[in-house]
Amino acid sequence: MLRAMIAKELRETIWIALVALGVYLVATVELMGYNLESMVYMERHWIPFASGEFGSMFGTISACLAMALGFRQSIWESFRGTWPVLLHRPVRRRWVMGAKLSAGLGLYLVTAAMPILLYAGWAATPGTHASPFEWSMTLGAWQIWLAITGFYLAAFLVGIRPARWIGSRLLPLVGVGVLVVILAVNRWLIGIFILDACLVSAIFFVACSRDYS
Amino acid sequence: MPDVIVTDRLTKYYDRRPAVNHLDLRVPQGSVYGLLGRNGAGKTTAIKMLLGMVHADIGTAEVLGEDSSRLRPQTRARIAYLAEGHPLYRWMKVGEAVRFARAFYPAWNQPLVEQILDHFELSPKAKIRRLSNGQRAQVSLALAVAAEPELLILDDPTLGLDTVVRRDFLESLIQIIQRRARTILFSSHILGDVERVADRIGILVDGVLRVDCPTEHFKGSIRKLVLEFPGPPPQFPECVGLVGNRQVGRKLEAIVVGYGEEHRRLAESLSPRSIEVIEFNLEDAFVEYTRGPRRSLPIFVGGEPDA
Repeated sequence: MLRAMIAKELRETIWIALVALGVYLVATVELMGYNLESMVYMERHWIPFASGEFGSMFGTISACLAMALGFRQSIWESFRGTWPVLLHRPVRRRWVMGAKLSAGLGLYLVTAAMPILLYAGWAATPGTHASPFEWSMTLGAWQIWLAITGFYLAAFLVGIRPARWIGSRLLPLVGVGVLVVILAVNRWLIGIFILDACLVSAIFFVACSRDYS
Repeated sequence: MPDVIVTDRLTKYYDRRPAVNHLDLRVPQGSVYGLLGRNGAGKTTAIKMLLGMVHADIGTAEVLGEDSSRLRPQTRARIAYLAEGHPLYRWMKVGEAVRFARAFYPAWNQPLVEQILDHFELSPKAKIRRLSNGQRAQVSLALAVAAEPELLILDDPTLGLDTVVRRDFLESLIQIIQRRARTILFSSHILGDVERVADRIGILVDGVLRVDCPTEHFKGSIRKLVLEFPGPPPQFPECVGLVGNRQVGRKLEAIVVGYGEEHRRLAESLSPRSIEVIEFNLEDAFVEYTRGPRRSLPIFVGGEPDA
Protein backbone atom coordinates (compact mmCIF):
# COMPACT_ATOMS: atom_id res chain seq x y z
CA MET A 1 0.00 0.00 0.00
CA LEU A 2 2.71 2.46 1.05
CA ARG A 3 4.87 1.30 -1.86
CA ALA A 4 2.06 1.92 -4.34
CA MET A 5 1.43 5.38 -2.90
CA ILE A 6 5.13 6.36 -2.85
CA ALA A 7 5.58 5.00 -6.39
CA LYS A 8 2.63 7.10 -7.59
CA GLU A 9 4.02 10.24 -5.96
CA LEU A 10 7.52 9.68 -7.35
CA ARG A 11 6.16 8.95 -10.82
CA GLU A 12 4.30 12.28 -10.75
CA THR A 13 7.21 14.37 -9.49
CA ILE A 14 10.36 12.74 -10.83
CA TRP A 15 10.41 15.04 -13.88
CA ILE A 16 10.67 18.09 -11.61
CA ALA A 17 13.69 16.51 -9.92
CA LEU A 18 15.28 15.71 -13.28
CA VAL A 19 14.83 19.29 -14.51
CA ALA A 20 16.30 20.57 -11.23
CA LEU A 21 19.26 18.19 -11.55
CA GLY A 22 19.95 19.58 -15.01
CA VAL A 23 19.88 23.16 -13.71
CA TYR A 24 22.07 22.24 -10.73
CA LEU A 25 24.55 20.55 -13.03
CA VAL A 26 24.86 23.54 -15.37
CA ALA A 27 25.20 26.01 -12.47
CA THR A 28 27.69 23.85 -10.54
CA VAL A 29 29.86 23.24 -13.59
CA GLU A 30 29.87 27.02 -14.20
CA LEU A 31 31.02 27.53 -10.59
CA MET A 32 33.84 25.08 -11.16
CA GLY A 33 35.08 27.33 -13.95
CA TYR A 34 33.85 25.54 -17.06
CA ASN A 35 32.07 27.85 -19.46
CA LEU A 36 29.49 25.67 -21.12
CA GLU A 37 28.94 28.06 -24.06
CA SER A 38 32.56 28.33 -25.15
CA MET A 39 33.65 25.04 -23.55
CA VAL A 40 36.63 26.89 -22.09
CA TYR A 41 37.98 26.41 -18.56
CA MET A 42 38.61 29.62 -16.63
CA GLU A 43 40.02 29.27 -13.15
CA ARG A 44 37.82 30.81 -10.46
CA HIS A 45 39.44 32.90 -7.77
CA TRP A 46 37.19 31.99 -4.90
CA ILE A 47 37.31 29.37 -2.20
CA PRO A 48 34.71 26.66 -2.75
CA PHE A 49 31.80 26.85 -0.24
CA ALA A 50 33.53 29.62 1.75
CA SER A 51 32.91 32.48 -0.66
CA GLY A 52 29.13 32.21 -0.76
CA GLU A 53 28.67 31.77 -4.54
CA PHE A 54 27.59 28.16 -4.16
CA GLY A 55 25.24 28.95 -1.29
CA SER A 56 23.24 31.59 -3.19
CA MET A 57 23.05 29.50 -6.37
CA PHE A 58 22.16 26.37 -4.46
CA GLY A 59 19.62 28.13 -2.23
CA THR A 60 17.79 29.71 -5.17
CA ILE A 61 17.51 26.53 -7.25
CA SER A 62 16.66 24.39 -4.21
CA ALA A 63 13.89 26.76 -3.12
CA CYS A 64 12.38 26.58 -6.62
CA LEU A 65 12.68 22.78 -6.63
CA ALA A 66 11.13 22.46 -3.16
CA MET A 67 8.21 24.75 -4.00
CA ALA A 68 7.58 23.04 -7.34
CA LEU A 69 7.43 19.66 -5.58
CA GLY A 70 5.15 20.95 -2.83
CA PHE A 71 2.72 22.57 -5.26
CA ARG A 72 2.73 19.61 -7.64
CA GLN A 73 1.83 17.19 -4.87
CA SER A 74 -0.95 19.28 -3.38
CA ILE A 75 -2.61 21.78 -5.68
CA TRP A 76 -2.39 19.45 -8.68
CA GLU A 77 -4.74 16.97 -7.00
CA SER A 78 -7.25 19.82 -6.67
CA PHE A 79 -6.84 20.87 -10.32
CA ARG A 80 -7.35 17.33 -11.53
CA GLY A 81 -10.18 16.66 -9.07
CA THR A 82 -8.43 13.54 -7.81
CA TRP A 83 -8.59 14.27 -4.07
CA PRO A 84 -11.86 12.31 -3.70
CA VAL A 85 -10.27 9.28 -5.42
CA LEU A 86 -7.29 9.40 -3.11
CA LEU A 87 -9.05 10.27 0.11
CA HIS A 88 -11.69 7.61 -0.27
CA ARG A 89 -9.02 4.91 -0.11
CA PRO A 90 -9.40 2.85 3.06
CA VAL A 91 -6.61 4.63 4.91
CA ARG A 92 -6.56 7.57 7.26
CA ARG A 93 -6.18 11.03 5.80
CA ARG A 94 -3.02 11.54 7.84
CA TRP A 95 -1.59 8.41 6.24
CA VAL A 96 -2.22 9.80 2.73
CA MET A 97 -0.58 13.11 3.62
CA GLY A 98 2.26 11.37 5.44
CA ALA A 99 2.99 9.21 2.39
CA LYS A 100 2.93 12.24 0.12
CA LEU A 101 5.25 14.22 2.39
CA SER A 102 7.66 11.30 2.74
CA ALA A 103 7.92 10.90 -1.04
CA GLY A 104 8.25 14.64 -1.67
CA LEU A 105 10.74 15.32 1.10
CA GLY A 106 12.77 12.25 0.19
CA LEU A 107 12.93 13.29 -3.45
CA TYR A 108 13.92 16.84 -2.52
CA LEU A 109 16.63 15.73 -0.10
CA VAL A 110 18.18 13.26 -2.54
CA THR A 111 18.02 15.62 -5.53
CA ALA A 112 19.36 18.64 -3.67
CA ALA A 113 22.18 16.61 -2.11
CA MET A 114 23.61 15.87 -5.57
CA PRO A 115 25.09 19.31 -6.37
CA ILE A 116 26.64 19.59 -2.89
CA LEU A 117 28.31 16.20 -3.33
CA LEU A 118 29.38 17.06 -6.88
CA TYR A 119 30.88 20.43 -5.95
CA ALA A 120 32.47 19.06 -2.79
CA GLY A 121 33.88 16.10 -4.71
CA TRP A 122 35.40 18.47 -7.25
CA ALA A 123 36.74 20.76 -4.50
CA ALA A 124 38.25 17.78 -2.67
CA THR A 125 40.04 16.57 -5.79
CA PRO A 126 43.65 17.80 -5.74
CA GLY A 127 44.69 20.10 -8.57
CA THR A 128 41.27 21.51 -9.37
CA HIS A 129 41.60 24.85 -7.59
CA ALA A 130 44.20 26.88 -5.71
CA SER A 131 42.65 26.95 -2.25
CA PRO A 132 42.32 24.69 0.77
CA PHE A 133 39.34 22.40 1.26
CA GLU A 134 37.91 20.66 4.32
CA TRP A 135 34.68 18.67 4.29
CA SER A 136 33.52 20.76 7.24
CA MET A 137 33.37 23.70 4.81
CA THR A 138 30.24 22.08 3.28
CA LEU A 139 28.32 22.42 6.56
CA GLY A 140 26.69 25.70 5.51
CA ALA A 141 25.42 24.15 2.27
CA TRP A 142 23.97 21.22 4.18
CA GLN A 143 22.20 23.63 6.51
CA ILE A 144 20.65 25.45 3.54
CA TRP A 145 19.71 22.02 2.15
CA LEU A 146 17.91 21.20 5.38
CA ALA A 147 16.36 24.64 5.88
CA ILE A 148 14.76 24.60 2.43
CA THR A 149 12.57 21.66 3.47
CA GLY A 150 10.54 24.50 5.04
CA PHE A 151 9.85 25.85 1.53
CA TYR A 152 8.63 22.44 0.43
CA LEU A 153 6.32 22.08 3.42
CA ALA A 154 5.05 25.65 3.10
CA ALA A 155 4.26 25.15 -0.60
CA PHE A 156 2.43 21.94 0.24
CA LEU A 157 0.46 23.76 2.91
CA VAL A 158 -0.41 26.56 0.49
CA GLY A 159 -1.58 23.92 -1.99
CA ILE A 160 -4.01 22.20 0.35
CA ARG A 161 -5.15 25.20 2.37
CA PRO A 162 -8.32 26.72 0.97
CA ALA A 163 -8.23 30.50 0.72
CA ARG A 164 -10.17 32.84 -1.50
CA TRP A 165 -7.57 35.50 -2.05
CA ILE A 166 -4.20 34.70 -3.58
CA GLY A 167 -2.53 36.97 -1.02
CA SER A 168 -3.89 35.11 1.98
CA ARG A 169 -3.29 31.82 0.22
CA LEU A 170 0.41 32.57 -0.22
CA LEU A 171 0.80 33.91 3.31
CA PRO A 172 2.39 30.73 4.76
CA LEU A 173 4.94 30.67 1.96
CA VAL A 174 5.98 34.27 2.49
CA GLY A 175 6.19 33.83 6.28
CA VAL A 176 8.16 30.61 6.03
CA GLY A 177 10.42 32.12 3.37
CA VAL A 178 11.49 34.87 5.77
CA LEU A 179 12.00 32.37 8.60
CA VAL A 180 13.99 29.95 6.43
CA VAL A 181 16.39 32.71 5.37
CA ILE A 182 16.87 33.78 9.01
CA LEU A 183 17.39 30.19 10.17
CA ALA A 184 19.76 29.31 7.32
CA VAL A 185 21.85 32.47 7.73
CA ASN A 186 22.08 32.08 11.51
CA ARG A 187 22.54 28.30 11.29
CA TRP A 188 19.86 27.53 13.89
CA LEU A 189 19.51 23.84 13.22
CA ILE A 190 17.01 23.29 16.01
CA GLY A 191 14.91 26.15 14.64
CA ILE A 192 14.70 24.39 11.28
CA PHE A 193 13.39 21.22 12.92
CA ILE A 194 10.85 23.17 15.00
CA LEU A 195 9.63 25.06 11.91
CA ASP A 196 9.28 21.82 9.93
CA ALA A 197 7.40 20.14 12.79
CA CYS A 198 4.99 23.10 12.96
CA LEU A 199 4.42 22.98 9.21
CA VAL A 200 3.79 19.22 9.20
CA SER A 201 1.28 19.65 12.05
CA ALA A 202 -0.44 22.46 10.12
CA ILE A 203 -0.61 20.27 6.99
CA PHE A 204 -2.19 17.40 8.94
CA PHE A 205 -4.62 19.76 10.61
CA VAL A 206 -5.71 21.42 7.36
CA ALA A 207 -5.91 18.08 5.52
CA CYS A 208 -8.22 16.62 8.17
CA SER A 209 -10.39 19.68 8.75
CA ARG A 210 -10.89 21.18 5.29
CA ASP A 211 -13.73 20.39 2.90
CA TYR A 212 -12.95 18.67 -0.40
CA SER A 213 -15.89 20.11 -2.27
CA MET B 1 -34.17 -4.18 6.07
CA PRO B 2 -31.88 -1.90 8.10
CA ASP B 3 -30.98 1.51 6.70
CA VAL B 4 -27.48 1.75 5.26
CA ILE B 5 -27.56 5.54 5.07
CA VAL B 6 -29.31 7.67 7.67
CA THR B 7 -29.05 11.44 7.82
CA ASP B 8 -30.57 13.73 10.38
CA ARG B 9 -31.04 17.44 9.58
CA LEU B 10 -27.87 17.38 7.51
CA THR B 11 -27.08 20.94 6.50
CA LYS B 12 -24.23 22.68 4.71
CA TYR B 13 -23.90 26.40 4.07
CA TYR B 14 -21.82 28.02 1.36
CA ASP B 15 -21.67 31.82 1.60
CA ARG B 16 -24.50 31.78 4.14
CA ARG B 17 -26.71 30.04 1.61
CA PRO B 18 -27.74 26.47 2.39
CA ALA B 19 -26.44 24.11 -0.30
CA VAL B 20 -28.07 21.24 1.58
CA ASN B 21 -30.81 22.10 4.03
CA HIS B 22 -31.98 19.79 6.83
CA LEU B 23 -31.63 16.63 4.79
CA ASP B 24 -33.34 13.63 6.40
CA LEU B 25 -32.51 10.69 4.21
CA ARG B 26 -32.87 6.95 4.74
CA VAL B 27 -31.56 4.45 2.24
CA PRO B 28 -32.59 0.88 3.03
CA GLN B 29 -30.13 -1.96 2.56
CA GLY B 30 -30.35 -3.59 -0.87
CA SER B 31 -32.17 -0.67 -2.47
CA VAL B 32 -31.18 1.40 -5.47
CA TYR B 33 -31.81 5.01 -4.53
CA GLY B 34 -31.77 7.76 -7.15
CA LEU B 35 -30.98 11.20 -5.81
CA LEU B 36 -32.32 13.74 -8.26
CA GLY B 37 -32.14 17.45 -8.60
CA ARG B 38 -31.32 20.20 -11.04
CA ASN B 39 -27.79 21.59 -11.32
CA GLY B 40 -26.80 23.17 -8.01
CA ALA B 41 -29.58 21.44 -6.08
CA GLY B 42 -27.07 20.04 -3.58
CA LYS B 43 -26.66 16.43 -4.77
CA THR B 44 -22.87 16.41 -4.87
CA THR B 45 -22.55 18.26 -1.57
CA ALA B 46 -24.91 15.76 0.07
CA ILE B 47 -22.91 12.82 -1.30
CA LYS B 48 -19.62 14.36 -0.18
CA MET B 49 -21.01 14.83 3.31
CA LEU B 50 -21.98 11.15 3.34
CA LEU B 51 -18.37 10.28 2.55
CA GLY B 52 -16.83 12.71 5.02
CA MET B 53 -15.26 14.83 2.28
CA VAL B 54 -17.35 17.83 3.28
CA HIS B 55 -18.12 18.64 6.90
CA ALA B 56 -21.74 19.31 7.80
CA ASP B 57 -22.56 22.60 9.54
CA ILE B 58 -25.62 21.12 11.22
CA GLY B 59 -26.90 17.58 11.60
CA THR B 60 -25.40 14.13 11.33
CA ALA B 61 -25.01 11.36 8.79
CA GLU B 62 -24.46 7.68 9.42
CA VAL B 63 -23.18 5.36 6.73
CA LEU B 64 -23.04 1.62 7.42
CA GLY B 65 -23.74 2.48 11.05
CA GLU B 66 -20.83 4.89 11.44
CA ASP B 67 -20.61 8.65 11.71
CA SER B 68 -19.75 9.71 8.17
CA SER B 69 -17.33 12.39 9.35
CA ARG B 70 -15.22 9.74 11.11
CA LEU B 71 -15.37 6.73 8.82
CA ARG B 72 -12.79 4.13 9.77
CA PRO B 73 -10.62 2.72 6.95
CA GLN B 74 -12.31 -0.68 7.38
CA THR B 75 -15.71 0.95 6.78
CA ARG B 76 -14.43 2.98 3.86
CA ALA B 77 -13.27 -0.29 2.27
CA ARG B 78 -16.94 -1.40 2.24
CA ILE B 79 -18.01 1.72 0.31
CA ALA B 80 -17.25 2.34 -3.34
CA TYR B 81 -17.41 5.89 -4.62
CA LEU B 82 -17.52 7.06 -8.20
CA ALA B 83 -16.86 10.78 -8.20
CA GLU B 84 -18.46 13.11 -10.72
CA GLY B 85 -16.51 13.20 -13.98
CA HIS B 86 -14.64 9.98 -13.14
CA PRO B 87 -11.37 11.55 -12.04
CA LEU B 88 -8.48 9.16 -12.56
CA TYR B 89 -4.73 9.72 -12.80
CA ARG B 90 -4.41 10.47 -16.47
CA TRP B 91 -0.75 9.49 -16.73
CA MET B 92 -1.53 5.94 -15.63
CA LYS B 93 -2.34 3.05 -17.91
CA VAL B 94 -5.48 1.09 -17.12
CA GLY B 95 -3.36 -1.73 -15.68
CA GLU B 96 -1.45 0.73 -13.48
CA ALA B 97 -4.71 2.21 -12.18
CA VAL B 98 -5.86 -1.32 -11.29
CA ARG B 99 -2.58 -2.12 -9.52
CA PHE B 100 -2.66 1.18 -7.62
CA ALA B 101 -6.24 0.65 -6.41
CA ARG B 102 -5.64 -3.04 -5.63
CA ALA B 103 -2.88 -2.17 -3.17
CA PHE B 104 -5.45 -0.64 -0.81
CA TYR B 105 -8.10 -3.37 -0.71
CA PRO B 106 -7.62 -6.74 1.00
CA ALA B 107 -10.78 -8.17 -0.60
CA TRP B 108 -9.85 -7.13 -4.13
CA ASN B 109 -11.49 -9.29 -6.79
CA GLN B 110 -8.94 -9.34 -9.61
CA PRO B 111 -10.81 -11.85 -11.84
CA LEU B 112 -13.87 -9.59 -11.65
CA VAL B 113 -11.99 -6.45 -12.68
CA GLU B 114 -10.40 -8.35 -15.56
CA GLN B 115 -13.81 -9.65 -16.58
CA ILE B 116 -15.31 -6.15 -16.55
CA LEU B 117 -12.40 -4.63 -18.47
CA ASP B 118 -12.64 -7.46 -20.96
CA HIS B 119 -16.39 -6.89 -21.31
CA PHE B 120 -15.77 -3.22 -22.09
CA GLU B 121 -12.87 -4.16 -24.40
CA LEU B 122 -10.43 -2.07 -22.39
CA SER B 123 -6.79 -3.04 -22.67
CA PRO B 124 -4.70 -2.83 -19.48
CA LYS B 125 -2.06 -1.15 -21.65
CA ALA B 126 -4.39 1.68 -22.70
CA LYS B 127 -3.38 5.12 -21.42
CA ILE B 128 -6.11 6.69 -19.34
CA ARG B 129 -5.57 10.12 -20.89
CA ARG B 130 -6.38 8.63 -24.29
CA LEU B 131 -9.67 7.11 -23.13
CA SER B 132 -13.03 8.68 -23.88
CA ASN B 133 -15.33 9.86 -21.07
CA GLY B 134 -17.32 6.67 -21.44
CA GLN B 135 -14.26 4.45 -21.20
CA ARG B 136 -13.06 6.31 -18.12
CA ALA B 137 -16.47 5.74 -16.56
CA GLN B 138 -16.10 2.05 -17.33
CA VAL B 139 -12.64 1.90 -15.74
CA SER B 140 -13.98 3.72 -12.66
CA LEU B 141 -16.85 1.26 -12.40
CA ALA B 142 -14.51 -1.73 -12.70
CA LEU B 143 -12.22 -0.31 -9.98
CA ALA B 144 -15.17 0.44 -7.71
CA VAL B 145 -16.76 -2.97 -8.02
CA ALA B 146 -13.55 -4.98 -7.73
CA ALA B 147 -13.22 -3.88 -4.12
CA GLU B 148 -16.39 -5.91 -3.39
CA PRO B 149 -18.22 -3.03 -1.67
CA GLU B 150 -21.51 -3.35 0.17
CA LEU B 151 -22.50 0.18 -0.75
CA LEU B 152 -21.88 2.02 -4.01
CA ILE B 153 -22.20 5.78 -4.07
CA LEU B 154 -22.18 7.15 -7.60
CA ASP B 155 -22.17 10.87 -8.28
CA ASP B 156 -23.76 11.48 -11.66
CA PRO B 157 -22.03 8.44 -13.19
CA THR B 158 -23.51 8.86 -16.66
CA LEU B 159 -22.79 12.56 -17.03
CA GLY B 160 -21.19 13.30 -20.39
CA LEU B 161 -21.69 9.82 -21.79
CA ASP B 162 -23.43 9.22 -25.10
CA THR B 163 -26.66 7.23 -25.21
CA VAL B 164 -25.11 3.90 -26.21
CA VAL B 165 -22.33 4.04 -23.62
CA ARG B 166 -24.82 5.17 -20.99
CA ARG B 167 -27.09 2.24 -21.72
CA ASP B 168 -24.13 -0.16 -21.59
CA PHE B 169 -22.93 1.37 -18.33
CA LEU B 170 -26.36 1.04 -16.75
CA GLU B 171 -26.79 -2.54 -17.88
CA SER B 172 -23.47 -3.35 -16.23
CA LEU B 173 -24.68 -1.59 -13.13
CA ILE B 174 -27.86 -3.67 -13.11
CA GLN B 175 -25.79 -6.85 -13.41
CA ILE B 176 -23.68 -5.72 -10.49
CA ILE B 177 -26.77 -5.04 -8.41
CA GLN B 178 -28.20 -8.44 -9.23
CA ARG B 179 -24.93 -10.21 -8.49
CA ARG B 180 -25.26 -9.41 -4.82
CA ALA B 181 -27.81 -7.49 -2.84
CA ARG B 182 -25.78 -4.31 -2.89
CA THR B 183 -27.09 -0.92 -1.92
CA ILE B 184 -26.61 1.81 -4.48
CA LEU B 185 -27.08 5.53 -4.05
CA PHE B 186 -26.64 7.48 -7.21
CA SER B 187 -27.28 11.02 -8.23
CA SER B 188 -28.28 11.99 -11.72
CA HIS B 189 -30.25 14.43 -13.74
CA ILE B 190 -30.79 12.00 -16.58
CA LEU B 191 -34.18 10.74 -15.56
CA GLY B 192 -34.35 7.88 -18.03
CA ASP B 193 -31.34 6.33 -16.29
CA VAL B 194 -32.91 6.68 -12.89
CA GLU B 195 -36.18 5.22 -14.09
CA ARG B 196 -34.33 2.20 -15.44
CA VAL B 197 -32.51 1.25 -12.23
CA ALA B 198 -33.81 3.07 -9.16
CA ASP B 199 -36.53 1.61 -7.01
CA ARG B 200 -36.71 4.68 -4.81
CA ILE B 201 -36.01 8.35 -5.49
CA GLY B 202 -35.33 11.52 -3.60
CA ILE B 203 -35.61 14.94 -5.20
CA LEU B 204 -33.58 17.85 -3.91
CA VAL B 205 -34.86 21.32 -4.69
CA ASP B 206 -32.55 24.14 -3.57
CA GLY B 207 -30.92 21.83 -1.06
CA VAL B 208 -34.20 20.65 0.45
CA LEU B 209 -35.40 17.08 0.03
CA ARG B 210 -38.87 17.56 -1.39
CA VAL B 211 -39.57 14.01 -2.47
CA ASP B 212 -38.57 10.68 -0.95
CA CYS B 213 -40.65 7.76 -2.17
CA PRO B 214 -40.70 4.77 -4.50
CA THR B 215 -40.15 5.75 -8.13
CA GLU B 216 -43.52 4.45 -9.26
CA HIS B 217 -45.26 6.31 -6.45
CA PHE B 218 -43.78 9.60 -7.62
CA LYS B 219 -44.69 9.04 -11.25
CA GLY B 220 -48.20 8.06 -10.25
CA SER B 221 -48.65 11.13 -8.06
CA ILE B 222 -48.07 13.83 -10.66
CA ARG B 223 -50.83 14.60 -13.14
CA LYS B 224 -51.41 17.28 -15.70
CA LEU B 225 -54.98 18.49 -16.07
CA VAL B 226 -55.72 20.03 -19.45
CA LEU B 227 -58.93 22.02 -19.42
CA GLU B 228 -60.27 23.43 -22.69
CA PHE B 229 -62.50 26.51 -22.66
CA PRO B 230 -64.55 28.22 -25.38
CA GLY B 231 -62.86 31.55 -24.58
CA PRO B 232 -59.84 32.74 -22.56
CA PRO B 233 -59.21 30.27 -19.73
CA PRO B 234 -59.42 31.32 -16.06
CA GLN B 235 -56.77 30.63 -13.38
CA PHE B 236 -56.90 27.25 -11.66
CA PRO B 237 -58.12 27.75 -8.07
CA GLU B 238 -55.48 27.51 -5.33
CA CYS B 239 -55.59 24.11 -3.70
CA VAL B 240 -53.43 21.57 -1.93
CA GLY B 241 -51.10 19.82 -4.39
CA LEU B 242 -51.18 22.47 -7.10
CA VAL B 243 -47.61 22.84 -8.38
CA GLY B 244 -48.31 25.24 -11.21
CA ASN B 245 -50.77 26.26 -13.88
CA ARG B 246 -50.42 28.01 -17.20
CA GLN B 247 -52.65 29.17 -20.00
CA VAL B 248 -51.93 27.93 -23.50
CA GLY B 249 -54.39 29.54 -25.94
CA ARG B 250 -57.84 28.39 -24.87
CA LYS B 251 -56.40 25.67 -22.70
CA LEU B 252 -55.52 25.75 -19.03
CA GLU B 253 -52.82 23.33 -17.91
CA ALA B 254 -52.55 22.56 -14.20
CA ILE B 255 -49.89 20.36 -12.62
CA VAL B 256 -51.04 18.68 -9.44
CA VAL B 257 -49.47 16.32 -6.97
CA GLY B 258 -51.62 13.63 -5.37
CA TYR B 259 -54.39 14.01 -7.92
CA GLY B 260 -57.77 13.17 -6.43
CA GLU B 261 -61.46 13.86 -6.30
CA GLU B 262 -61.01 17.41 -4.97
CA HIS B 263 -58.87 18.41 -7.96
CA ARG B 264 -61.44 16.92 -10.32
CA ARG B 265 -64.25 18.82 -8.56
CA LEU B 266 -62.31 22.09 -8.75
CA ALA B 267 -61.63 21.53 -12.44
CA GLU B 268 -65.29 20.87 -13.12
CA SER B 269 -66.28 24.00 -11.17
CA LEU B 270 -64.59 26.07 -13.89
CA SER B 271 -67.06 24.64 -16.45
CA PRO B 272 -64.53 23.76 -19.14
CA ARG B 273 -65.54 22.29 -22.49
CA SER B 274 -63.36 19.22 -21.78
CA ILE B 275 -61.04 17.86 -19.08
CA GLU B 276 -58.10 15.63 -19.88
CA VAL B 277 -55.94 13.99 -17.18
CA ILE B 278 -52.43 13.17 -18.41
CA GLU B 279 -49.97 10.82 -16.67
CA PHE B 280 -46.25 11.43 -16.91
CA ASN B 281 -43.12 9.40 -17.29
CA LEU B 282 -40.46 10.12 -14.65
CA GLU B 283 -38.66 12.73 -16.72
CA ASP B 284 -41.76 14.79 -17.46
CA ALA B 285 -42.96 14.38 -13.87
CA PHE B 286 -39.60 15.64 -12.58
CA VAL B 287 -39.53 18.60 -14.98
CA GLU B 288 -43.06 19.69 -14.15
CA TYR B 289 -42.52 19.17 -10.46
CA THR B 290 -39.27 21.08 -10.14
CA ARG B 291 -40.14 24.05 -12.33
CA GLY B 292 -43.26 25.01 -10.41
CA PRO B 293 -43.32 27.84 -7.83
CA ARG B 294 -40.99 26.27 -5.29
CA ARG B 295 -42.42 27.61 -2.08
CA SER B 296 -45.71 25.91 -2.68
CA LEU B 297 -44.18 22.58 -3.60
CA PRO B 298 -45.91 19.82 -1.72
CA ILE B 299 -43.63 17.53 0.24
CA PHE B 300 -44.36 13.88 0.26
CA VAL B 301 -41.41 12.46 2.05
CA GLY B 302 -42.15 8.95 3.25
CA GLY B 303 -44.42 7.18 0.80
CA GLU B 304 -44.39 3.43 0.93
CA PRO B 305 -40.73 2.44 1.30
CA ASP B 306 -41.24 -1.18 0.43
CA ALA B 307 -44.12 -0.73 -1.99
